[in-house]
Amino acid sequence: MSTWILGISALYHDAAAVLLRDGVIVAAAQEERFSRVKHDASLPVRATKWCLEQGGISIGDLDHLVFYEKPLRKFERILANSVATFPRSWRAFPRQMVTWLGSKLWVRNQLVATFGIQPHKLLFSEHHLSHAASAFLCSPYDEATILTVDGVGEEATTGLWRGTAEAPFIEPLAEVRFPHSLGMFYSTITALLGFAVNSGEYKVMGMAAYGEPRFRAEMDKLLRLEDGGAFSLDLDYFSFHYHPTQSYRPRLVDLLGEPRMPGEPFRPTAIAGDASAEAVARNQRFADIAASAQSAIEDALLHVVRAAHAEHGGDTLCMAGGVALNSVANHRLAKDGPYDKLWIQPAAGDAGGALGAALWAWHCVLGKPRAATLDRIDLGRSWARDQTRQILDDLGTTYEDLGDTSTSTTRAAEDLARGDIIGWFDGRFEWGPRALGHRSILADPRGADTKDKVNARIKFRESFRPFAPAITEEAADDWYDIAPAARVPLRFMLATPTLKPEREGSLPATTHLDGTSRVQIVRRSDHPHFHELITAFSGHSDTPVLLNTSFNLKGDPIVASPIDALATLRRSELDTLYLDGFRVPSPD
Amino acid sequence: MASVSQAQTEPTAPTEHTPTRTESILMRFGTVGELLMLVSAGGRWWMLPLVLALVVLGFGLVALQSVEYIAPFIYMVF
Amino acid sequence: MGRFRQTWIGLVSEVSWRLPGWPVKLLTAFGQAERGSFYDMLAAAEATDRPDLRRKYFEHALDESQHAIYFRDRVMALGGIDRARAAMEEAGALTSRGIVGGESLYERLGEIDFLAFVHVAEAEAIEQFSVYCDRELPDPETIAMLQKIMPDEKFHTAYPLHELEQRRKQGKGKQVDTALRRVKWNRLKEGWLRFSRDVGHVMSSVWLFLLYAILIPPFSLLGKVERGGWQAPRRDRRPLAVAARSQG
Repeated sequence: MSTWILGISALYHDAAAVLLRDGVIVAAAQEERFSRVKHDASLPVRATKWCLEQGGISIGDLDHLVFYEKPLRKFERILANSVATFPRSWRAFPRQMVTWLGSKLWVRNQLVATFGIQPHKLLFSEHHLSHAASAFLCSPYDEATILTVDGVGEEATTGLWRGTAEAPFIEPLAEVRFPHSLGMFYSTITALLGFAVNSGEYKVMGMAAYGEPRFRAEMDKLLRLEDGGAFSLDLDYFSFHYHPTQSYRPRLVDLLGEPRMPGEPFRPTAIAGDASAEAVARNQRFADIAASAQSAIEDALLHVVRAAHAEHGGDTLCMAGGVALNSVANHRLAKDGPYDKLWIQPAAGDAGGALGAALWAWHCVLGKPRAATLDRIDLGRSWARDQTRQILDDLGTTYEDLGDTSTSTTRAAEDLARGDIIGWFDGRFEWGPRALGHRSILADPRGADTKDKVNARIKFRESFRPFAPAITEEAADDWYDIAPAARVPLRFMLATPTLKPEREGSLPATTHLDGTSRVQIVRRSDHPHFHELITAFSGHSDTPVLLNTSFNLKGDPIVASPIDALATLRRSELDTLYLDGFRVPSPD
Repeated sequence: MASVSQAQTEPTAPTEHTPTRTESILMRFGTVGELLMLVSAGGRWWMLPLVLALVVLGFGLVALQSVEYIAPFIYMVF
Repeated sequence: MGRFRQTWIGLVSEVSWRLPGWPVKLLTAFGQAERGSFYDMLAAAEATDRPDLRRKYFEHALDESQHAIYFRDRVMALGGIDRARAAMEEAGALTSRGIVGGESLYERLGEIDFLAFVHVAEAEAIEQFSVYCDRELPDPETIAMLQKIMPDEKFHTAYPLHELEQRRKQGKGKQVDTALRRVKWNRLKEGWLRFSRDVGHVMSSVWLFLLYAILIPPFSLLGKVERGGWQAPRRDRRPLAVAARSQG
């Protein structure tokens, strides 16, 4: 008899469900892919339904359903913090309490009523413990130091853990508590720069390359590094811990200047165009703020891991938590940090808590030995070709059935070499926020205007945002300077190496202003079709690299089903869609 | 199309267990018990009255949700 | 739709459109509804087994996506929303909708009720937009935008109606009438529930604010914001099997 465990994260950020059979991942998906609400936080009913289908089981067959955090501890923290920040918390308190008393407090009831699970099968992990479990228990390493960093969980915002080969597998070492949070620091700067908190953080990272860290001294006032790898925020500048919508106080504006308006065109010196000198100066300030915040968070992370290494030794660091999605900072850790090996769980944000919660239950609670590592991330749903063909026929779409994969890769490589921008839909969708060759928009990275075209006419997003290259494992070292510790994170597009000097200028569409790229190293065993496609493209271009960006338009979650892909084709200027072996040219 | 008006309905996941009303109430009491233990174990005993007051209000909110069609009239009385 | 309803909408709109902040709020809500509807229609296109309807749902979905962009552009151009909300709008965030509670609108309603719903909802939208345009309540650009999407909206009411008429001809008139009645009744009911929830929300907030103002001050000296730096993790003395089952 197999043991089935379902891990769930929900009710805060990205909801997800992960199904384990005897400790091995059978299915893992974020609810947003099904509900089509980006960052959907509601209970992952649809994702769960699909996970169970994929496992061929019903809810009654589950041995445990594991929630990724302890809701009551979170409630206690919110309450204690509201008391401590009285009377400034007067706006936040009623808002928070309405949602908590009305629903969030009753998670057990909700889980039982929604999923029909027997109450005695429910387990509750802890937020950062789930992150730690997701970072370590499916890594390839027997022992490691584990660092979890995000906005906030129950009380902790940062956790340091020891991962062991035998039980207890994960031991807590130390934590930093709310409101002192690297995640909230970065989110506050995100808000100041006019982006949506919890989704615009990538944009700040992208913006940083256009600036110089000339506000570093100011950042050091906000985020103070202390002895022993400790840090704290100067709370006089922040209000996220007592205000429902405003994350910073006027003092921060005094320090850094007027905030950027949401939607304001970004025109710093490097891409000034015909903007007025005044606008350029203003925008350069925003770029410099982004660069300073990025530099501050990198230094803070280095400060933390250096101290951790000095105290606990070891050569391996595993990471998770939303901050671990900052690929530029990860690269700094890989390059300048004390650890030889680095492993970051690809769904490092809250969705990954579902994976961690399930793994925690299997190993730590049930005491089972370490088993599988997470290599392949195509753990989401796939669609039968007959179903897809039916949809194509019904919609009256013009298409070719290319049948087997090698014909698809050959044809797609030809299209790409001709300069077409294609949608690539292959099998099961990815686990985590990155599209890694299963739901991707692909293009030739050599074109000078490709980046602007994909930003403006395909994804309808800001022109300054860079695109990532995907490169075959065999060719990676010929093209990029890769720090040894960055090699594994690069499989999940989680670090940013620099293009080799002799290759400078050869990949304008995927090289950021500062010469770095958020590379994905594609191994044949992890992504056989995608690897074949890049290899075929290299046959035309001598370039084993493709521009790879997620298959979605601004505001949409990444495409999940064939119909999502077809709608995206119609709503953008994509040239061709490759849909599980069907070639669909754009109708225009 | 103004689908703003679509209310949430109960999902239809496959079920092995549908809680009875009594069981739901008992579970909520169980949660309150856990919460009180947590707060006292953490040494924040002074928060107990606040937690109790909130929980009473919480039960009120949940109770009102179950009669949401007439809730506005009830609010008028209070 | 009845003249009474139109007059009513007209009267309400004459007042509401002059309230500060209201137009942007309304346009934001329309934009959100259009976006939600895009996902609803796409889910219907995926789920239906009728080829002709699949195509219509799909085209309808694409229209809604375009309309959502028009609304968002107007909202961004008019400004006047707070920074956090503006950032969300700018990012194209959807606050809810699509598949709710595990089921799409189509799955919840079934084909006939879904068609009836689409017809009724779209007709109401046309009616509302027409009143706004006729009375010249929005600014000229917004009026132009509403007029631009009107032909699409007419298609959105016409094809479900045509489909319902076909069913009538097939002798399913009774089913169609029931569906239309049910949908209209449900929209009223849901309107009331929404009102009820909003009132509940306001009243709860008032109670909670009072609680905050009365109960918290005596304790506020005891509560302290956590200090920064490393702290020892909270040790749980309970056996793991017990702690793992606990929510706290």
